[in-house]
Amino acid sequence: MAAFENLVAAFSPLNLLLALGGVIAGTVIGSLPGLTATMAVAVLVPITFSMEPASALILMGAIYTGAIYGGAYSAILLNTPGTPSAIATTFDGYPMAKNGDGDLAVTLACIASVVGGLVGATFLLILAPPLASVALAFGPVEYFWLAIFGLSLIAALSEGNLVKALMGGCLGLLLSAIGVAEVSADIRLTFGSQVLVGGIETVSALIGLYCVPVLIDLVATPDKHLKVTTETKGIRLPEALAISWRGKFNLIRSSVIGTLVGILPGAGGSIAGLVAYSEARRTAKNQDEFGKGAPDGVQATESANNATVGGGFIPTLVLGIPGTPPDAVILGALLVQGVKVGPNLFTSESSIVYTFIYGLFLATILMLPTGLIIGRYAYRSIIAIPKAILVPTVAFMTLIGTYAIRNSVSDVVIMVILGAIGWVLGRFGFSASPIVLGLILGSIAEQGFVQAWTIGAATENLTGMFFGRPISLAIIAMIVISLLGPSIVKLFAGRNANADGEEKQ
Amino acid sequence: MTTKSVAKRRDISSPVMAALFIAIGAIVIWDTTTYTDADSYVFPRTIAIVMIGLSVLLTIQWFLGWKPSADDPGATVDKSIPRRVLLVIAMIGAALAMPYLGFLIAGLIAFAAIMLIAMYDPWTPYRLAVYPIAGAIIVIGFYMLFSHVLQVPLPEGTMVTLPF
Repeated sequence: MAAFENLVAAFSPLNLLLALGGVIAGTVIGSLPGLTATMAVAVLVPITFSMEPASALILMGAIYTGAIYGGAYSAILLNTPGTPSAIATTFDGYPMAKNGDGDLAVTLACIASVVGGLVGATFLLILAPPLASVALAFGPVEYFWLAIFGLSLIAALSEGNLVKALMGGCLGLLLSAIGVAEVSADIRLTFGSQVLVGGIETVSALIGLYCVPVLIDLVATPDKHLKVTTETKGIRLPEALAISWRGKFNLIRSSVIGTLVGILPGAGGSIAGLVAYSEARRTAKNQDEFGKGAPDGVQATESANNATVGGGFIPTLVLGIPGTPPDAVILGALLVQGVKVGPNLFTSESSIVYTFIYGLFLATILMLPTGLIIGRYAYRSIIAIPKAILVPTVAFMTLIGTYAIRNSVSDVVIMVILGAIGWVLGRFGFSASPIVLGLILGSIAEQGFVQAWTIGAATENLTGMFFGRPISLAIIAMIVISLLGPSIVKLFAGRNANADGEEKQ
Repeated sequence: MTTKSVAKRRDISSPVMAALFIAIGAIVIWDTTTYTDADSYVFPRTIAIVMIGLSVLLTIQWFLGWKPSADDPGATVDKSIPRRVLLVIAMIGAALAMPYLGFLIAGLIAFAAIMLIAMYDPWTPYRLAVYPIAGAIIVIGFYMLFSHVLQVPLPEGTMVTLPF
């Protein structure tokens, strides 16, 4: 009965409107190269602060899923992935566009994204509750190890040097310590500045670190952000539906791959797309057509990257550990709202979770009509936005959005400065994601560590406290897997991607 | 041999960044000596020590000639540095001006300034007419959304008072 009530709540007129608006906004932002799904969520997140938690989650989920799909437009029509998740979409999407089938590729991408999104959301609905009941047995030590597990994702998030990624993670942890200490009320790392006493607000830091570097790079060159190169003829829906039906096994397999990669913390849509693409190519009968405009390639990538949305929400909601970078932003937004993410969420505030999950289904289904309409009519006007309008608009949204979080001018200044620092660090191979993870997980890690230390010292059994409990040992094993696993996946995906790239040439 | 030395010369950023992170770690450790409670300093001090250790490791990697992929900072030197700096200044300036000019006026000025910074095309009569109007609509639209619909108390400004 409660499930029915949550279903009705998800389909309230307000939530319908939010899901529709979120999908449209996400698709538009995601289709612009340079503006990622993470940035789409980060820029629009302050709008959600005055909403009910379930509605806020539906809006953010809709923006996220729309942005992942939107990345396919420019990947197919311009050979430039709108978001990193659409990298593998270019392999076959652009050759299809060159062959005059760009419109068909966009429609195929839309159908595949919807299928992937629905599979991911189904996994979220089925897997999250039993996982949450396991997580309820966690004590402070387990939470400490969970936070360390989250930090071990740095290995998965790092694209260059692992040591630099870990250094960035430490910097994030130190940034989280700025301000009044939670345990003892000491004022830490402010160096006498009143601006820093309030600490660094997580979401404003995220907006700065993810959005400002993109703006800094956009103003640096006169290059147009995009140009239209292909004519579109129509939606070609019946044809696309027929192809999708023929490729149904590929769609389902790629969606499951995408969900599993999404659950694997730190590995996002780009890795999911590459793995699913290489798997589709490996098992296909028409391997020679891959890289030359095979619809199967577009279907595999687009279903996999949208499946990461539902998959990534599983660790985010159950454990409070973001599955993908946009989940990190959503997690920060929920903390601002006072929603304590974790296993208790599924018992104490189950209506929020289930209303959101049904809302995610709703947003994914809405992506079909909106995606097709945007693909057909609005795309040209989206990409015609001049840089001189786009850059100040996004900059203004970061300013107003950051201020709105806690009505603080200091937060806005900190946001811009952190963004500039993030840009400089980015130039030297330090990516933003490890810093962000450190910032988000800092307080969880510190509280768990200090509590476990205190209990361990009182019982004179520090080693047993940290290493003697079965759940702790299981999490430590997961830490080892997360440190080593994604590198192997990346290696696998990279090798196949390279092989595909070579074949294209 | 030659390739190796070129790689080392180009990756001079690694030891510089390592030194910077060591300095940050040292400052943090120094700051932790002023805390009264062990609960306050144990965590930041531990992290600072780990960070210094990682910085040393990065320097050792550099000495051994190990070059990380895809982080060559030299690739962007031909792009406009002044515009990048001006963008950051415009955004910080807008934030600092908010308490005096109010959010709307500070936002409008910042929008206009950033529009000029991001503008590479010639100003045709069409652009001169349309871009500022589009900018004003966007800024006022978002201002109205946040201040009136979402009820965010945006700064009003001590120097200029608006009728709405």
